[in-house]
Amino acid sequence: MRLPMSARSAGIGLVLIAIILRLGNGRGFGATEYAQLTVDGLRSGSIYALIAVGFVVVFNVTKVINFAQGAFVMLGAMITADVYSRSLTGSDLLNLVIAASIAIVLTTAVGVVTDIVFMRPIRKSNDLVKIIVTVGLFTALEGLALLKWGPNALRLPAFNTFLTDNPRDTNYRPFGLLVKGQSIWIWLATITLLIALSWFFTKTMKGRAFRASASNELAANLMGINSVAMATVAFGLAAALGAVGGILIAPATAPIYDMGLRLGLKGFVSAVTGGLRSVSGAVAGGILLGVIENVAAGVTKAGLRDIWSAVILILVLLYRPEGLFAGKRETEKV
Amino acid sequence: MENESEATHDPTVGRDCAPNDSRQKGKDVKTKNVWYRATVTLIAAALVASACGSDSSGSAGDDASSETSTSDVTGDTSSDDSDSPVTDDGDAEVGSTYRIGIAVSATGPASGLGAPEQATFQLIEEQVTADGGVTGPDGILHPVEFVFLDNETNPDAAASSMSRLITEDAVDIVLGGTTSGNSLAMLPIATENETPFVSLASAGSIVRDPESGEVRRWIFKTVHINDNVAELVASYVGARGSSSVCYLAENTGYGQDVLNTASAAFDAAGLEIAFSDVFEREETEFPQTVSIGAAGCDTVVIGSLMPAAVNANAALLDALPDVEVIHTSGICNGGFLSLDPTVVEGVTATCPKLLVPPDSLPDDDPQKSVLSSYRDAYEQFSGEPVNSFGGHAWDAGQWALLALGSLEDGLEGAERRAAIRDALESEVDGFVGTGGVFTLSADDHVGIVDTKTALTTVRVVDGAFAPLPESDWAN
Repeated sequence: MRLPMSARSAGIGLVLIAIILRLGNGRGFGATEYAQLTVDGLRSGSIYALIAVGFVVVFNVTKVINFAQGAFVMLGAMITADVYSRSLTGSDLLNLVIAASIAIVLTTAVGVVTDIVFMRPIRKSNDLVKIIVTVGLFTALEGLALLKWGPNALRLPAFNTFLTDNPRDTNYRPFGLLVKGQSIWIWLATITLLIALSWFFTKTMKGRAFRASASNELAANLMGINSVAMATVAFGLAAALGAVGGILIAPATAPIYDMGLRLGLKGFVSAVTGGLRSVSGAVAGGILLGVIENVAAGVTKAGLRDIWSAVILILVLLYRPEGLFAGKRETEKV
Repeated sequence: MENESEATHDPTVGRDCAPNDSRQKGKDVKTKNVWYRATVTLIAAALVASACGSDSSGSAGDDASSETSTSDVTGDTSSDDSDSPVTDDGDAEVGSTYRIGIAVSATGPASGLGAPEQATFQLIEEQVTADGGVTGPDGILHPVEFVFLDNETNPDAAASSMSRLITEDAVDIVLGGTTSGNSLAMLPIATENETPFVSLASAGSIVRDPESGEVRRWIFKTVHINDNVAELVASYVGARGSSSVCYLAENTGYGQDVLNTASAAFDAAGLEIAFSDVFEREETEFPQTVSIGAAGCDTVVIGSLMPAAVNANAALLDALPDVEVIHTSGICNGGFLSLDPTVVEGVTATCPKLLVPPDSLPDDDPQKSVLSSYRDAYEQFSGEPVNSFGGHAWDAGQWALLALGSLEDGLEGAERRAAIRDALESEVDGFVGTGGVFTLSADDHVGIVDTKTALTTVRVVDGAFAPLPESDWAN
């Protein structure tokens, strides 16, 4: 990854770090406290990264910012919690696996249907129309979720509880830090998914066709690649990534029908921070946002937490609209 | 292969180029119209879906509410309609109809509170209708009509429901509000139109203007103020001999109010809040626990509604397992116990008395019989377990009936509303309700003289709220 940091942004970074240390010092924070805030931030950052990759995948192929992405996250969490609570088999672990599989399949299907039914007919319209349609889809999916599950929160136990006798998550305490068992699941799953995704994009024919379509639709069409079908693949992939993010974060909160908006916006900011076109940029953007947000909330008021993503979004759009991690755009051979 | 529908408009290949191709923009103008229409339709469908979605949470008897409101719209003259309703009470003289406006959050995020309130008002409506109405001191029977509107847990909808009840439905008194935000949006309209309003929300600023410190003339409420909660929490923490207290509040109107009132009550009790912060409703990370650890608190008070209260509690349990957690009255319903039983076992909360089984109360408790009779009536009527929110609605309905029952015949419009307001201050005197023993006066529009009639400390034992008498506080 290229990081052409200008002297100015390095200066801003140093000033911010100084402010953070000054504020944290007032609370008696030492290295352990900062490390703890960073570890927790890495966890939400990983989820933001998964959601952000969903934004990037769709944007690359269709040039649409898909604001329904947050609804996919919500669906993943809600369907899993719902199916799990029905205890279909005698084994809790099996129930979780079944619930998560059903959630991923259903959410992916929703993504695919979204593209075929709503996005495909308007693919020649201007971008604003498409974005408005995705916002409408988000509202519709959230409304349907409220219809299905009502206004109360559901629950999904931490994954570690399925492997141990402990009714609560098994927490690890290395070096005086608290690392929740669920965090490890989140990191492992995120890393595995990203590796699988990179394998798909670089090593499989479909993945290459996908990248070709993203890079130059006309040229890809002339090579016999069906770019309309690629858009459907993109929506399905984005929905699946969102669903996995939702399933992983579900035990860390109480899944509720309106959880998608906030997570969707965080994912969007992460994707913009990474330049909207690059998967690795989106991952870095997500992790950066998670950590900055959590450390900033830790040393100031946590009530201001959601402000930081807006601040980052504005700064990025003002000073580096091409994304923090963007290098020179160059033609790529796929 | 992919351009079936658009083929006639655009035979060129160029449209697949960059989006800022001006030729393409020109050609899209025709089709744009269609897609704008499609978009608008879709968004409309989305809105309908979300509206329907919230309806389902409105629980029992939504049709009853729409019936009342539509029948009211058709017979829309003001309060002097003289059509004599059919009653089985043959010998009583029938006077003009009284109208009670109800505007609770039957849908939306606070529908967990609003739905039991709505059901309770329907229960009262059923009982009053069975009696034929309320009888005044002059022996004249007045039918009572209930007009139900949904404030959708949305301050704008709440304000407009208040205006509609007053101007279109010409009600004599409004009950509802459900949340503090909604009540605060509704009360200026009630004041302006000189209509008494009994709120079901917690914030003290509903009945007392925080800037001038004056009691709002037309506004009352049946819910203990958060100062009551703070007072009880402070005396509990004091009795435990805690050395350092931290406070976490949900970032909502409710959370801010419990936090503000707690600072005052804790000061008064000689306790200092070492660290306080707020958190969001759908939070996944709680950096606040790091600051709490650094501040060295041994007790943390969580001032929040569900489900955020459980999320914050879980984060504390993971990060600082030795800290004692106390909840305010925002969690006092069944969802708190069932969402994640592994988190809430053993925690303490201050809750309305309705939450504990009536037979666990001492026999000399004056509220024992009203608590148990409301519990039975509500559970039979709604089929749901009782909760304190419905209890507040019950008290509000009884206040209204008490005030209406004290009116002489012949009062109309503004005169009648003023008489109801005055009657609330004079008639609600030692009233034994589910949420306290109330005595209203010109200076006190909540009327809870003794906090312990409104609230009791409870502890979660084996997944249920068990009463925690003062004598056991130190254990």
